[in-house]
Amino acid sequence: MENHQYDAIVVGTGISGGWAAKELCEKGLKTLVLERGRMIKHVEDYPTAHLDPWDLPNGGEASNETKERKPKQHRTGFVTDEAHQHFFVDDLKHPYNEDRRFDWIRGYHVGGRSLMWGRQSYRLSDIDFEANKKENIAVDWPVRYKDISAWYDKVEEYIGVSGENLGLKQLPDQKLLKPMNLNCVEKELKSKISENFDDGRLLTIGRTAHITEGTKPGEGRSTCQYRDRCMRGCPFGAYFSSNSSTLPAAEATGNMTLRPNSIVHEVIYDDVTKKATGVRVIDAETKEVIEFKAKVIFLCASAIASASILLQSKSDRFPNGLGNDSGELGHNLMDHHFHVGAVAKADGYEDKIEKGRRANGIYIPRFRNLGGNTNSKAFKRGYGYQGGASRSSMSEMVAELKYGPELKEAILKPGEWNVNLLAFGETLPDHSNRMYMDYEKLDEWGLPTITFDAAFGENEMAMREDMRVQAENMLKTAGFKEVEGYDNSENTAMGLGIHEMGTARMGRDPKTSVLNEYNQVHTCSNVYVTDGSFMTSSGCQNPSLTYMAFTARAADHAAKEFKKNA
Amino acid sequence: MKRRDALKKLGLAAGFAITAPSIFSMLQSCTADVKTWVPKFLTSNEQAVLTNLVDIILPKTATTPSATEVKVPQFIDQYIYEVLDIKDQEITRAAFNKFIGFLKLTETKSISDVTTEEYTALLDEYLLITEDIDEEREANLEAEIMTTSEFLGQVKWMTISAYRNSEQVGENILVYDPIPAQYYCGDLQELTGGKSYSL
Repeated sequence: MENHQYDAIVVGTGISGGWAAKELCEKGLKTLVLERGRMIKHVEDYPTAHLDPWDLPNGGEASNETKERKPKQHRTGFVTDEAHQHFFVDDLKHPYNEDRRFDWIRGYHVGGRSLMWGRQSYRLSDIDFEANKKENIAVDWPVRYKDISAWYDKVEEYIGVSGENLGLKQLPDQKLLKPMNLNCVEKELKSKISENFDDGRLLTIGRTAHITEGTKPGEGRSTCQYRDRCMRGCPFGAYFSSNSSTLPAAEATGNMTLRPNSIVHEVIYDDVTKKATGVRVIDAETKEVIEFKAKVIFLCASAIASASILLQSKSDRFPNGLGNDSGELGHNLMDHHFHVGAVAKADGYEDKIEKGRRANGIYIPRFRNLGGNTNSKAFKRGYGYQGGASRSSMSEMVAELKYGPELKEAILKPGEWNVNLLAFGETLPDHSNRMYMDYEKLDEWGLPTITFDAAFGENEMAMREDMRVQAENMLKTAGFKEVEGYDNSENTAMGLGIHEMGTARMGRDPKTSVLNEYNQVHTCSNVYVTDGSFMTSSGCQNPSLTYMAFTARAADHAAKEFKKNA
Repeated sequence: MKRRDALKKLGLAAGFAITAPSIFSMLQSCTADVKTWVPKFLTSNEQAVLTNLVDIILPKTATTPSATEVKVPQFIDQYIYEVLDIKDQEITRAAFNKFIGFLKLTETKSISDVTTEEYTALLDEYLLITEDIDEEREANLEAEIMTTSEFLGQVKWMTISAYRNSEQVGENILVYDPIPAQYYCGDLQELTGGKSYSL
């Protein structure tokens, strides 16, 4: 007989859900962890982890069959590759609607996108936490760096993040393992940037959630082998995922019940106690509707899905969705904008080549709008660059030879060194960017589907010009050749950064925000939302580390409240 | 995506090389056996043509296998069938038919009578290198067709890709390094002897 009563329920098993599960279980709460997708066991369920291109059909390129089932996932151009397409959703089975194009890239399985994430891990700073207030945009974060820094410490020490501390006010120092190496071309770019720019910009190796020395707790986590097959699941447990780290930790306490194939669609609200009492679930396979009860609910289903659950949680008290007195639920949808920067070629390193495939690149931290000569009149906030240098796998002579033995020789030799600076920019919160429920178009479980209506705004578009120009400047300054700026804004849309956030923002005032400073729904305090939903502004840093830190902090708060009321 | 962009993505539109292959024997006969595998997409004439083209593009040398020895035609056939969408399949087929038209088959001249010399003459004429201009394309800038040059460029690109992605080449000809365990910038000769990696 399945137990229906728990101390806590966690909805979702990705970056945030894994942390909520671990923290709540370790603090002694009997916790039910619900995941809408199938089970994925660490290592055992990574079927492609050791496959070479010749082991995959068509060298691993997305087949017509895959593209037909996953047309929206395919917009990324890479997640549908056969080596890892099985970790991304079937768009026909899991449809959504677009008033304006939105690329919603998802993985429905235990571990969620923690299994396929980009792993870049940067902290927000007070420049980010104070920006909305200073500029009178949206609402103020109810949190400052001092409130969250210890939680960043805790998360980083547990998951393992490698990189280099720089002592920058806009990019706080972190608890880092030894950095991965820059290659020779990147080292040259680094020194040329430092020599030639007086606005504080500099280049460092990316801070990435890979173990570069020693081991970390979890299920067999060891150092990175530089295979660059992370998105298939890592048999070495070298990068952080829920599957390798937080879920095994939660499991080890004996307090976790993990239930895959469980689609949570509603939080049940009790008007007498003014608290949530549990969640309603549809079993994805049997379609049975089940209720589970708990004293604490953590929504960690991702920014869009958690907002969707709250919007569907209607009651007399909350006719527009649980905690939605402000009308902000589902609004202020953000992502990072990118696909802009510059490329070049580097001479002088023809006698060098990389050993290993580094699943990490360079990072040029934000250097705009930090005061003095860094300020721009054209746009607010800032951006950082990722990318790096690598040697192409085939000689450029291939294009100069038609056929025969000489061509054959050329295809076996490495080509030139290519450099790419790819900018990731902050997106301002905007009430008109939103997702909402369509109760006419239902999915196969009879649940309403999600409709997106969002786009990047004027500030983002103005920022892109500088993102391209400064990338060109740095590559030219480095003396690289064939410097070419690019901006694919026409072919991109919100969502493609796969950093969707902001749909249940934190704030100080229940009238203008959904969550308080501990990620609690202002008006239903035993519901915590700790995925990207809570982001009051987006920063330009990759956000997952921040979700983990806020989740750990919220779980600590929830456990204390639970014990107080016990 | 516009047709031209799609072709560029496949590496076709940039154009490919013309250099007289002095060491290549123009007189060798076409003996490639086309009967040993059943194509998924190609007709038997297309199969025969492709089998001959890929071994002219990447012939056997003293140290490396030919394209057919590592099953490049099979790879290309399956790739067209399983990866190219229906529209691109049709465009490819039309271009292939046009190319076969250049071979001037008759009742007395079947596909197996086409000489290597005839194939290389067509490659010399239509395969382009970087600076060459595709006159057929210039005359039909936005036409949703594949010009003969684009078609041969696609054959060349796919041949190279299939060759490099084959197990024999990937594990034994290129430098195979499945678990590098470290990352650094090192000496090309020391690390790979001047070759590139397969992964």
